[in-house]
Amino acid sequence: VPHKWAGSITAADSTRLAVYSIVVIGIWTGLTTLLIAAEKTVRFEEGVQSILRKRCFGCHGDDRTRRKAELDLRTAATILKGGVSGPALVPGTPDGSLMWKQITTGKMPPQPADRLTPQELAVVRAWILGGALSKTAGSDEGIADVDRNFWSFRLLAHVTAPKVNDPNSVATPIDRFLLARLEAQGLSYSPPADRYALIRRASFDLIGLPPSPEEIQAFVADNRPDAYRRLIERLVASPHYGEHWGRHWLDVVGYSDSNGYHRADTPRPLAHRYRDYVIRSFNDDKPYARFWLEQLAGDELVSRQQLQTYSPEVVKLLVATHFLRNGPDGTDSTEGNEIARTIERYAVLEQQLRITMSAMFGLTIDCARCHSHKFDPIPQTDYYSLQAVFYPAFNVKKWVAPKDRSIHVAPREQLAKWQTASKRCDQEIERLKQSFAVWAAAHRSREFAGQLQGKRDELDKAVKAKEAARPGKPGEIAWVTDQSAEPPVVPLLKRGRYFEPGAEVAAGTLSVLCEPGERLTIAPPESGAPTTGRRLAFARWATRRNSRAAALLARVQVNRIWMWHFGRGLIDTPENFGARGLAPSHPQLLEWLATQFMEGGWSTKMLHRQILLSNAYRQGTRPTTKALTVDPDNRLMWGYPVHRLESEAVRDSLLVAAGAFDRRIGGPAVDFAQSSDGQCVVPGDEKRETGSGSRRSVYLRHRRSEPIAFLQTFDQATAEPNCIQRSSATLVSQALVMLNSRFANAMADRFAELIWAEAGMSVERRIRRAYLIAYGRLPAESEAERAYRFLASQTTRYRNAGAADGPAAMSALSDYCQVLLSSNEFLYVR
Amino acid sequence: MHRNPGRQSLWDITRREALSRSALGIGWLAAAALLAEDGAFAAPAAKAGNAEPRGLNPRAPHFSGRARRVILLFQHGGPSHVDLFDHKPALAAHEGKPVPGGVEAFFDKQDSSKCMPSPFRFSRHGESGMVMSDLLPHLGACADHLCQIRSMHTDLNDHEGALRLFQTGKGRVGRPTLGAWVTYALGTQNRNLPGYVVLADPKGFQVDGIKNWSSGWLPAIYQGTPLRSEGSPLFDLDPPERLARKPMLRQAQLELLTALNERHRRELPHLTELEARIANFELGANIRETVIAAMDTAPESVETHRLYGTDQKETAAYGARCLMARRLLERGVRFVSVFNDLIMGDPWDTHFQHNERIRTVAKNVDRPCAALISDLERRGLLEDTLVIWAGEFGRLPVAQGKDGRDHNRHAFTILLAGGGVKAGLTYGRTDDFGYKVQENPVSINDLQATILHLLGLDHEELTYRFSGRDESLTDAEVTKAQVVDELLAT
Repeated sequence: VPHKWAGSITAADSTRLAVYSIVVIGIWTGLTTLLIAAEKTVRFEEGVQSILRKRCFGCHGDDRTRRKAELDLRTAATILKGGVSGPALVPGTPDGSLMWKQITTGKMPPQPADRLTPQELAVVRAWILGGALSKTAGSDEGIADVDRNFWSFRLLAHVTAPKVNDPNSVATPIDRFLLARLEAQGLSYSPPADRYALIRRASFDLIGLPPSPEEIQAFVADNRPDAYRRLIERLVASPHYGEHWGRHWLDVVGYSDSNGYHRADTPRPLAHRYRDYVIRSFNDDKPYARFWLEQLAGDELVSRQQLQTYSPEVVKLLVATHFLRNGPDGTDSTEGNEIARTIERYAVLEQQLRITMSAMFGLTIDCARCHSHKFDPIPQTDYYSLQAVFYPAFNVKKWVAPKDRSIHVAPREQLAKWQTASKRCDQEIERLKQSFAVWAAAHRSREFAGQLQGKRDELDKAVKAKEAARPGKPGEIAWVTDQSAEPPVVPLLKRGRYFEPGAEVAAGTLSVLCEPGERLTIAPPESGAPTTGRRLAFARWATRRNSRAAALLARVQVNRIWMWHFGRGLIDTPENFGARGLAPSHPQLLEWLATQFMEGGWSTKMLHRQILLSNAYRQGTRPTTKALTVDPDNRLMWGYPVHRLESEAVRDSLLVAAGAFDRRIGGPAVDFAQSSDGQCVVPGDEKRETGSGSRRSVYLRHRRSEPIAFLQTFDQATAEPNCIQRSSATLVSQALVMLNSRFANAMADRFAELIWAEAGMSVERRIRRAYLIAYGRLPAESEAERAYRFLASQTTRYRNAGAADGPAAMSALSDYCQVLLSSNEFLYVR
Repeated sequence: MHRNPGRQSLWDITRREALSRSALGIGWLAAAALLAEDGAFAAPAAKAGNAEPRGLNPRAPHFSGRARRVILLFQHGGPSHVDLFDHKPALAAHEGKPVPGGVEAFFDKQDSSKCMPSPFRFSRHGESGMVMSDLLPHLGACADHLCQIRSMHTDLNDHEGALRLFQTGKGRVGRPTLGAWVTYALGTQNRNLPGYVVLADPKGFQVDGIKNWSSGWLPAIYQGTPLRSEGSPLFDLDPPERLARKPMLRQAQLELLTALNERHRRELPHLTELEARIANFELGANIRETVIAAMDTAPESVETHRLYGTDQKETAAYGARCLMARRLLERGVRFVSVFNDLIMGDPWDTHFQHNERIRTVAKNVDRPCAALISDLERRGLLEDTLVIWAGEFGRLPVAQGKDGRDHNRHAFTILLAGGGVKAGLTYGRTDDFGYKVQENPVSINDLQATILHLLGLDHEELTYRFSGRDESLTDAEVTKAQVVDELLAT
C-alpha cells in the first residue's frame, strides 16, 4: 500500500476512521488532563520512543530502504526535522503538529490494527505539549521507569513451570516450559535418541571430544536406571570438561596469545596462565559471580601481606585479572607521536570496556562514547563513569605497556634461592671484570695495545656466557592493577574526542541497572590492597544477588550456556540484550533458568545437569511433516537441534580418531609453524609416526595476525575484540582441507593403521571399529556391505596401479578412513 | 547501460564457460547461502535484522551504476604526493626553512623539519594536461583516463589505523573491508571463483595482513580470498600423494562419500545445509582447473606480457599480479585487491633515503598499473571497471632526519579510473606546501561513499545489522560522508 503523509484513503476507510478519531480524542482529553495535572514532563525516551518503535518504525525507522516520505521517527531531533512534508511537529502545540494530526485522524499508521491506543496517544500528546523534550546528551537524567522495566533490565521474575498435557514427557521443569509451547502448536518432542547418539552428543557437548569405543559399549550395556546420570557426572568431572567450556569462555573474553593491533602483533607469553585459570575455574565449577569478582578485581582482594607470600590462591587471583588484558593492545609497539599514542591507549580502554560489557551484560555501549545511546538507555556519562572504573589501571596519562604489566609471584623460598643464584652470577661477573682491570692496569704500556682488544673481547664473551647462564626470575605472571590508590581525574570526552576533555566524571555504572538514585559506592578495598577499590566496587555491584545487574548477568550467561548446549540460544542475539536485540523465544524459561542459576549459587555444572537431564535434550531428531510446517526452524525444539562441531572439536576429534591426541592439560601455548606454502600449521599435526601426538586445540598459540589454517577454515572465534557467537559457514575450503590437506591425510593414514592394528585381519571388524570411532555407532548391515565392497574394489584399483597386496589394502583402508572423517556424520552432532 | 559489443560477447563466453566447468554450477564458498536464496534454508545463524539471507548470487544494485567491478591497487606505506602528483614549487623557495605554523609529524624525534623540495620533474600529460611527475611516465601516458584527487585527507597518522579507516570506514579493528561490502551488496558473477580476490606479494603480507581483506562481522563468505601468484593458487588444491595422478581412486572415494552423506541427509531432511556440504565436496574436486586456468598468464600474448612488464626484473612480480587481476575481473570476479611488492617492508613508507626509494617503488608499480588501465580500456572493460590507486595517507613536505619524509594525514593524492569516474579531472587543491587541503576536501568516508555510488549503491542504504545497530561502511550519520558528485562522469 503506497502511503505518504497525504496518502489516499478510501471512502469506507475515512468513515471508519472518523468514528475512531472521535472516540480516541474523547479519551485522550481525559487522560492528558490527568497527566498535565500531575505536571509530568514526558521525555521522548520515556515511552514515546517505544510507542513509535512499535507503531511507526516499520516505515519510519531503521531501515532506510523502507522509509516513507523521508520521515525518520527514531529520535526527537529527526522528528523535528521531519520529512518531505516538513517538520512533523511543533513543540508545545499538538494541534499544530502534522504528526499529531496524522495519528489522531487515523491516517497513520495506515493499517487500523497498528493504530495508537488512547493511552499511547495520551503519552505522545503529553510529550508534545511538554515541549517534545528528549534526553540531553551527557546527562544521566532521563532513565525512567519505562527504561528500567525493559524485559532484560528488570529484576528476575519468579516464574513457575506451566502445566502440560503430557506429564510423561516431563523429566525436568525445563520440559514443562518447552512442552507447553509445543503442545499449543499441536507438536511434541521427537522420540528419545538412542544410547549411541546420546553418549556422542553428551561427550562433545561437555568435554568437546568423542567417546571412545569402550565408553560407548559400556554405556550401551549399562542397565542401571541411572546410567545416563552417571554418564553426565563422569563427563562434568572430567578434566577435559574445563578445556571445552573454558574455550567457550575464551571466545567471550577475546583471549589471544598476542597483543594484536599492530603488525608486530607482539606476543603475550604469559597469557596461558589466564587460559589455565579459566580452565581450572570451570573444572572447579567456580560460582559465576565469584568468577567475575576475580577477573575484574582479583588484585583488590589480595592484601599487602598476602602479596608477600604468593600462595597459589593469591597467584590465582592475580592471574585472573589478565581478563582485563584480553583486548588488542598495540602500545608495546607504538611508534609515533603523542596523538598516535593517546589514540592507541584509549583504544585499549575502549576495547576492554566493550569486552567487559558484552561479556557481562550482553550490551554494546560503544555508541555512548560519543553521545548518549540512541536505542538503549545508556547516557554518555554512564560510558565515562564506567571508563573511570577501569581508568586507574589503564591511566592514559601514566601508561603501562603490556610488556611491563607483569609481576613476579614466586613463593619466598623460591625467590630467595633465585636471588642467591643471581647474586652469585653478579659476583662472578664482577670477578671477571676485575681480573680484566688488573690485567689492563699491569699492561698499560704501548707494546700490549695489540692484546688489549683481544682481552676485552674475551671478557665480553665470558660476561655474556655468565649472563646467559643466569637463572630467570621465577613466577612471572601478567596481571592488571591500579597504578595507585589515589583516584586519577577521568574526563568525559566531548563527542568522544580524545583531545576535547569535558567535565570530570566519577566512577559509576549503568544507571539503568541501578535503582533510582542509587550510586556505586566506592571505598578503599578492605584487603588493604593499594588500589582505588573501583573495580571491586563495580564487581560487587554487578554480582549482588537480587539486583537488576545480577539479573541481567544471569540472563546473559544462561542464554549463552543454552546456546553452547544446543547450538542456538533462547535469544537469537546473545550479543545484544538491549532494545535492538531480539526477544527470547521462551521468556519464561529464560527467567526460570536465570533464577535457578543465581539462587543455586551461580553453579554452571548445576545448569548442565538441569539441561542434560531434560527430555528436551535427550530427544532424537525426527522431523514430522507437521513440525516442518508449523516450525521449520525448530525454534520450539520438537527435536534435538543438529549442529556442526566447532573448529576445535573438529581438529581434536581427528586427532582422537588417529590415536594422535596428546591429553596433557595446561601449560605454555603450543607453537605453530609456517608450512613451506605459507600456511600456519601445527607441526605435530602432520606427523605420521605411531605414538607421536599433538596437543588439544585450546592450547595452540592464538595470534590475531596469523590464524592456524585448519581452525580458521572451520570458523574459529574471531577475537576482534571478542566473539559471543561463532558463525558456522559452509565453505568449499572445508571440503578441500578434508580431502587434500596434509593434516587430514596424516590423520586418515593413522586412523587406518590404528584400525588395522586394533581390529586384526577381519575386514568386518575393521569396519565396525571405524564406525565406532568416527560416528560413535555400529554400521547397519547395508553400510557394512558398502564399506566392504569399497575396500575390495579400491584395493584392486591400487593393485592394478602397481601396488603390492599389503600396501594396496592399507591404502584402500586409508581412503576409506578419509571418507569417514570427511563425511557429514563425523562433522555433525545429532 | 552501454556496452561495447566485443566485451559483451567476451563476457558471455566467460560466463558460459564458467558454468560449464562445474557440473553443478553452484557456490564458490557458500552453497548454503545460495540455497537460502531459494527459500529452502532456514539459517539459524542468520542475524536479526538481516532476515533476508544473501549468498553470492549476483544482485542488482540500488540504482544503475556505471561500475560493475572494482580493482584496488593499494599503495601501502603512504605515497608521497608532493613527489608524484602535487607539484609544490614553494618547497624549493623555502628549502631548509620550516613550513609556516609547523607540521604534525608522526615521529616525535625529528632532526629536521625543514622544507624538502622534490627533486623530480613535473610535466603535463594528455589532452587534459594532468600534472604528474616523471616518476610515473606510464601512468602519465594514461592521464586522460585518470581522475586525480589531490584533496584527500584522513584522520589517523599510523599505518594500521589509516589502513583500517581506508578499508573499513573506521580506524578500529573488526569491521568489514570495502571488498567485503561490495561482494555482500552485489554478489559475484562467476561462482567458480571467489567473489573477492586478494593478490599479495608471495613473500608475505603488508601491514595489518589479513585484516586488509577481512569480512569483519559480515558473513565469512564475503571475506577476501588470497590467491597466490606463485605456486598453487589456493591451499589444498592437490590430492595427497597416495592418490596423485590416479583420478579413478579419488573418484571412487568421492562416490562413497556422497553415498554416506546422502544416507545421513535422508535422516535429517530439514537440514538443508547438508545438501550444500555434499555439493561442496564435488565442487571442491572440480575447482582446481577453474582457479588454475584463471591465474595462468601463459596464454597471454608476448605483447601483453611486455605491456605489464612481466619480462623485466623490477616489474615482473607486480606486473604478473596486475595481469592476473585482469584475468580474474574478466571472469566475473567482483573485487580484486592487488598489493605491492614488499620493498623494504611497506614500499612507500620512505622515512629515510626517500628520493632513492621512491624512485625504485615508482618504477615497480608505474608500468604494471598503467598497463592494467590501458589493457582494460582496449578490451572495453574500463568503462565498467573502477580502478582505485591509493595509499593510506601522504607524506610531509618537510624532511625527516637527513633524507626522509614522515606521514601526512592532512593531505594526499589518489587516482581513480574507469567505472563512471570523470576522466582527465584533477580535483581539489592543497596549500602551497602540500601540507593541508585547501579546496574541495575529500575524506576517506566521502571516497567510500563515492566508490559505492559508482557501483550503483547508496552508502546509507547498504547496511548490515550487527550487535543491534545497522552498520554501514561509511557510517554517514556519524562521519557525515557524502558522495562527491564532481568526480562522476556526466
